[in-house]
Amino acid sequence: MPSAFSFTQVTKRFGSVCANDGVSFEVEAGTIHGVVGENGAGKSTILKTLYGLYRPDSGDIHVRGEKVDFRSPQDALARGIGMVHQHFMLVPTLSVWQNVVLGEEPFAWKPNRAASIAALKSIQAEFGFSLDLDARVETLPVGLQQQVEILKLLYRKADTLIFDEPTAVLTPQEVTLLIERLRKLKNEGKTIVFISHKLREVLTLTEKVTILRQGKVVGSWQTAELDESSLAEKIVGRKVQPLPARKQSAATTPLIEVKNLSLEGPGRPILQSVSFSLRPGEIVGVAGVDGNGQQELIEILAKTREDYAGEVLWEGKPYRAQDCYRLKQSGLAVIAPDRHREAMILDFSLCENVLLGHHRETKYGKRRLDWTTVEKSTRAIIERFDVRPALPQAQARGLSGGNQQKLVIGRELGEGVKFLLAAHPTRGVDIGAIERIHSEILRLRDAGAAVLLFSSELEEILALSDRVLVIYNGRIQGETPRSQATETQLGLWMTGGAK
Amino acid sequence: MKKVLQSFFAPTLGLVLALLAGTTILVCLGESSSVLWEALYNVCFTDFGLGYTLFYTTPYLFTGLAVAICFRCGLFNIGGEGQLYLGAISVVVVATALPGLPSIVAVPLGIATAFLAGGLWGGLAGWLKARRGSHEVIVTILLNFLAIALVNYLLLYPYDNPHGQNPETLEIGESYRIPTLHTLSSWIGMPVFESTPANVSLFLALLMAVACHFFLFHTSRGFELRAVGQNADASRFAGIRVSTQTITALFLGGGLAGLVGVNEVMGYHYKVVEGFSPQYGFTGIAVALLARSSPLGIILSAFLFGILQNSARELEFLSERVTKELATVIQGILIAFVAAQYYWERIYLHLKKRFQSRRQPA
Repeated sequence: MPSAFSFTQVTKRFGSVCANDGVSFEVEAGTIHGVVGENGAGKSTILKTLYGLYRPDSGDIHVRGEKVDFRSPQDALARGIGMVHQHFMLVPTLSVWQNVVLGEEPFAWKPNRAASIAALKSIQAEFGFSLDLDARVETLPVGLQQQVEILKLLYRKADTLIFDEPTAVLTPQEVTLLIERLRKLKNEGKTIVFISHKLREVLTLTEKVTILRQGKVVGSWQTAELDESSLAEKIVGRKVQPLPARKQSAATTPLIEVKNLSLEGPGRPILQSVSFSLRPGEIVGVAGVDGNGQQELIEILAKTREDYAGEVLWEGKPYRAQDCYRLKQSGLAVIAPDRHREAMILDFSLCENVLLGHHRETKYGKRRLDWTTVEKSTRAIIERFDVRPALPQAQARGLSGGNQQKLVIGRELGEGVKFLLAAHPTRGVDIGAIERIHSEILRLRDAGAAVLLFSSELEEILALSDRVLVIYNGRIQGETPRSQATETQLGLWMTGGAK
Repeated sequence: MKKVLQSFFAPTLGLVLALLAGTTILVCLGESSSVLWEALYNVCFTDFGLGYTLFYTTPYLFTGLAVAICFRCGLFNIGGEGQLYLGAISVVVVATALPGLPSIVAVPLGIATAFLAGGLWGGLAGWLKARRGSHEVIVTILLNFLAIALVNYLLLYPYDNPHGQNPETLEIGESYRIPTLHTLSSWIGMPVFESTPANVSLFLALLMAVACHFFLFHTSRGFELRAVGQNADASRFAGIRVSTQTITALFLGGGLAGLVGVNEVMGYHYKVVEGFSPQYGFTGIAVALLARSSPLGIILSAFLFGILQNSARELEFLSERVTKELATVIQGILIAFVAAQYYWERIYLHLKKRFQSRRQPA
């Protein structure tokens, strides 16, 4: 089969960090090719050089056998290469057709609706899309917004489509639809590049896989030769331990009780009589599409907001009456959902970030801070979670997302945690670290802590939880023990399906 | 070594360009090119000049810290001017109400009053921000007008000095006055700064700079304040009350500005004169910016602003062509050049890059 594009010894550095180090591989035209690796392995970077967003420091890129030197995405699109980014590049207030033709309008002096719609209709028919072209983009669910992105590339006559972590934002049902759609695009002769760290999707969808580790190519394989564990092993570079067997919790009295929690947002309710309880030694997973009230529920349980109706009880005592700092000292730990905005302070050093939230503890001196002890704790966390670079005085901003998360986890999973509120604990973290974080959460559970786990990854929820709740539109849409949970059932609840 | 070079490059370049610009203007006015340098020499290296420079440095230290501690909490305190007027008048109010106190009680009482008066005025802005969501920039600006008007009323009516030529208050009692540096140095037999108003409140200001540094970087309360300044959301998740920190920062900032009253009233005029402050409160913003809100850095930047303030006075004295207004213009130009340090830094980085790429062509 002819080559769609190939990399030869491509190297790209950012300052002292080498993101791609002599990367060479080839993608055949008309295939679905997976590019996998841990966070920071360089998979997005290498394809962004193909898309003209970065220019390689050295090495060659060939498209259909011809050497190219793209200076911008426009150059790449002119050669038929398009990319769908993880975060969509759409104008929410414009309609679907306006978004698609934006920058490439049929008549330059005025967006011409009739001509655009006619062109888009024929594309929709050819590739089996059925979007409402006049709908405003902000009214569409995420899965359909992604289709708009794809339509944008097809309209620009791209024949190689790069997808950067396309399933990260989708529900299980939407993932299935996307996979079908990608297969159809391939059958129409398009080349698909699928960047992902979700092993199962890579295995079901792709024909060939290229694995990157620390900026270098580990190798390329036919997908049929691989299974989940051998793929994971190649990505991490060592055997991945399965999660240990778990003991059943004996406790019956709940640690946390949430009773009829309601919260009014501007114009609509955000939480509607949410009730559940949490026993010591139990992990309860909360699944749901982002924006269904999880953020507010987390804020209430983390004591950062008080404007709710209903009640939260900690060992029978009302939450509202207690000081946040007291709660932290009696064993509340929070892994906040938004790492940069809520979990850490980027302009503080690693030491200061480790101190954050624990700064009144006696071991750190209470009033006058004992920086030597803080640094000692920081070094301990750095060592335990392999945070790099291991510089306690460095600014947290300089760390990669995964390392920042490891620091936050290390801070929160300290001594004496009774209730862990973990929101997206492994977001943006590589496989090796995910393993570590998961086993730490399970260790905490076995030690008798209650864990409430929020995650947009169903796999993670199913792997860790003893019980799963699904939140939809501010309500608990369904609840099931782990043993009886299926992805289909959870996916149905997540989109508001019947109980 | 490289770092030291880098941190000195920008201020030095700023200073050199400032002096060149100042000299150019003076030459255009038909003045000799050396007069600015002469003025600078006098204010830095003569006993009399340095005494005045230190006198001007003191209020800049207080107002610089007043702005910096609020910057550290993510707040912009433009209310220094009002806060320092209230600090000053409160000393007169207390000294008039309790005239008979011995020095050992009166001086600490005066200092505490000045701090408290400024602090409450600043804290009011903090409270309005924390409880009502009013923006501190607008509130502190408006509170300036209120405070200055209030002080003018007090010195014209209830505390008016019937024998004074100017609108001013009665003098405070002997026991409330603090010694000048000249008096102090005469006691130990090494008199310096004769007939200058430099007084011991300079030591109070230096102490405050060190105290602010200790508070911000070595106490858990200071840590909370800085955390809120960097990221209020993350602070909330860490159990820190943002509203408490907002009020605290503006209270402390106001208090520090209020201490200017100690320098002006207890150390020099012994009364409040209408318009005694040449905008110390506002210049404090530049002082804090130049030091990047570092309390110890403010010692240097306040000294620099003291030099600039004093050299304007000196220029007026040395030259017949330089009037008070022109001296202020030149001072403003000097401040603008020195305070543009971010720009000089960018030039430095640009030059460095150029130089490096020439050495090793890519």
